[in-house]
Amino acid sequence: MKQKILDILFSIAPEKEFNLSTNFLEDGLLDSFDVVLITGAIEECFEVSISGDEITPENFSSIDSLEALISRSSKK
Amino acid sequence: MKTSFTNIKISGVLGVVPKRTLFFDDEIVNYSHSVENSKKLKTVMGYDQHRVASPGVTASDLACHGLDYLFTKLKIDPRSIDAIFFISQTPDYVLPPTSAYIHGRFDFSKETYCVDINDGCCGFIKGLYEAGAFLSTTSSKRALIITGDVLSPKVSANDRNSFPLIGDAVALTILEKSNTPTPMCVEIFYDGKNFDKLIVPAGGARMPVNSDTEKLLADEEGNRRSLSNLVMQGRDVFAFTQTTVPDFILSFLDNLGLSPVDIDLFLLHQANSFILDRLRAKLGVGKEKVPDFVVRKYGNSSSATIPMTIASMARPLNGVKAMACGFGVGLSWGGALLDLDNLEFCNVIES
Repeated sequence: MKQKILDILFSIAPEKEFNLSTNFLEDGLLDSFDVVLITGAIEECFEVSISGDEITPENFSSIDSLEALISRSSKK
Repeated sequence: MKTSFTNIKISGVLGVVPKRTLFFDDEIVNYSHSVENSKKLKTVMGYDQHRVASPGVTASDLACHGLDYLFTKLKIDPRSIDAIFFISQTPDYVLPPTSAYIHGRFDFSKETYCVDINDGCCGFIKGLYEAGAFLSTTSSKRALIITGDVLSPKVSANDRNSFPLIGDAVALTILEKSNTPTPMCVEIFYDGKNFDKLIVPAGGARMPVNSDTEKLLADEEGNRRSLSNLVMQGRDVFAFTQTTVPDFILSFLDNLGLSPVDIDLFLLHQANSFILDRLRAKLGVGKEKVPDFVVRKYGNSSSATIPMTIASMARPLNGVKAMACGFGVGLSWGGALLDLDNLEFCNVIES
């Protein structure tokens, strides 16, 4: 799952060094519209529905937090 | 604020949009973001086309075009209208009230009550409350609610967060006394501590316009705007729409002994498709109950989007139990339970 998440991140922001970051938002790797695009890509790739109140800076701050978000999101 | 009005109904809704249509595909070059990512946003956010008034056209111009249609084509008597509520963030002048200007353009009675209210995305709900209170406490029979904006001049064309969505439009809604048995329930809330989440900083008394306020500056996301442009704290506003708003809708319905399945149509403020889609999921209802075609076709016209949705519905609205919900600048949010039935007019015209 981690590699798929990384692939999605690089597809949206190919120039960013996600591998070196511990907090994507604090490090300025993602903006609010990147989060929108990542949400759509994750929903399509993992066939889940991400609840609107789960789209928070904390849940999009790292690979681990995204993995946890996907795991607890409901299947489409 | 919670209240309900009896024997009052919406008798007609007219949307008025400028003819000029802009397309997101043509605007992508104005943004500093990658073309590929911008194109992906088109589907997710509902960025497609939007109506933008020609320079010099104001909200009152659109309103007067609509009123001319009502009075000339539909033969409504201007003297039958006892009040004009003009709810907008884009008045013609600092003074006088734009409602007074509109009053002077037609043969309204001198007894017609004229009110301007500065409000945005929750403005239609506030208009229902103000007009409902007016009709309930006077012998008057009919009130005109004008909602909407020509906000495009206040949004930077280099701001991908806001410009693709902005839509200039005005809606005219007639509220009148009737024998409608179902009360029109209205609730409105404010969180003024977050007044600056959606703001045009310059242009009022606190920050008059000068050469410095007109300089375009880039934010951390690459959008370029001046202090005279609309700025939205997107992350905070989004969180508000996904926590406060759905909780409010469910609470509003619960207070009335209803649940989302009891509602035929949710008339939600047309913020953007991403927000609407997630609100719909929260409510657990089908897409047919939560239309988002107004933001996709016309853009987000703040206080006009809810009546614009009514005016744009393809199917006849007879015996439809609807919940209208506005949310945005203020921050404010509110809802109204409406019985839509046998509207005398319900359509959108171009100006």
